[in-house]
Amino acid sequence: MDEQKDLEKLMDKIFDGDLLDAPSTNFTTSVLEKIEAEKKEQLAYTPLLPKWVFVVIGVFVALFVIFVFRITDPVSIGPQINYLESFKSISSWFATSASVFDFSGTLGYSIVAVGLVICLQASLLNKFVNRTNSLA
Amino acid sequence: MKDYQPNIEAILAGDSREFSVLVDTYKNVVFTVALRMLKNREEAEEVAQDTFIKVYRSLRKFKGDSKLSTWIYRIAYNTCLDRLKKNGRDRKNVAIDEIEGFEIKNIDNALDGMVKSERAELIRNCIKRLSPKDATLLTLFYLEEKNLNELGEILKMGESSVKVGLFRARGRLAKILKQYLEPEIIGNYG
Repeated sequence: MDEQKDLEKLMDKIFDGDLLDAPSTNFTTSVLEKIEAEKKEQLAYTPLLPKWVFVVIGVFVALFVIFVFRITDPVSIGPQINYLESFKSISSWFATSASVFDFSGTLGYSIVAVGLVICLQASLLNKFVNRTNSLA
Repeated sequence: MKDYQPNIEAILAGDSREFSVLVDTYKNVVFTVALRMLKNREEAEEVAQDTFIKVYRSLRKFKGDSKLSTWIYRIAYNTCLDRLKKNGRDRKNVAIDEIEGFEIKNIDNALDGMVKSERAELIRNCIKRLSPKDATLLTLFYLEEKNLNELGEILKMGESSVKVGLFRARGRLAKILKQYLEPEIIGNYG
């Protein structure tokens, strides 16, 4: 017990003469500069999808529209385009084409399960990124 | 420093002057802890800066459940641990025999015979040889006068573990001091 007290006294004596170390003189300025640089980086708009993706989507939409008009009766496409009829035609085309493929129940459930896992991973990843960007 | 209460709302509103006051208030402690954990000045400065960047980013989440200083030192400690892990230098304590009462007296006498600056230099060298956890415990307990509860919050330890940790850290520091002071101690008896 006495030894512990002596040790505590010795430590008091040691740390009485101990001082805090000081970082470089421009420490605070460097921290503020880094924060400012980070802020600017955050403000700079960076689209989630690059331009070429929008071009590809545009081409697909254009092809789809052309396709819709080509499979419909040319007589109905005139000054008064009957869009409802056009979509009926396209839906019947999809129904015919889709019937060619025969999906098993297992495959269907697997697709749903994979979808759920992806959604779960996305939310977990989001939480992880948020956590690592805040407190260490 | 103990009475300093930063205006968190002003900092969150983008007042960089207020944040620079906060950095100036805590930079020496954060840097000292980082230096004593990492044992390298450049690395300690880098980690201390990272700590304040993290503080700035997370300030919105600070709810005031603990003291601001405790919260900042916890971020500093964790940032240092991350750096140590990254570098593969997660230094553990080495087993040290218990120090005897007479040895404590010898160290005390040898320290008395030293010039203040020389003594300060010796103590710094001895602290450098401590494990990151021991160095943090002793620095925050003696230099920042943090209590056991606050130390527990910073190091994610229970109060009793902090108490035991402090006791062992004191013993280890005394043993290291004894090794350094061996020539002086022998000289005193010679």
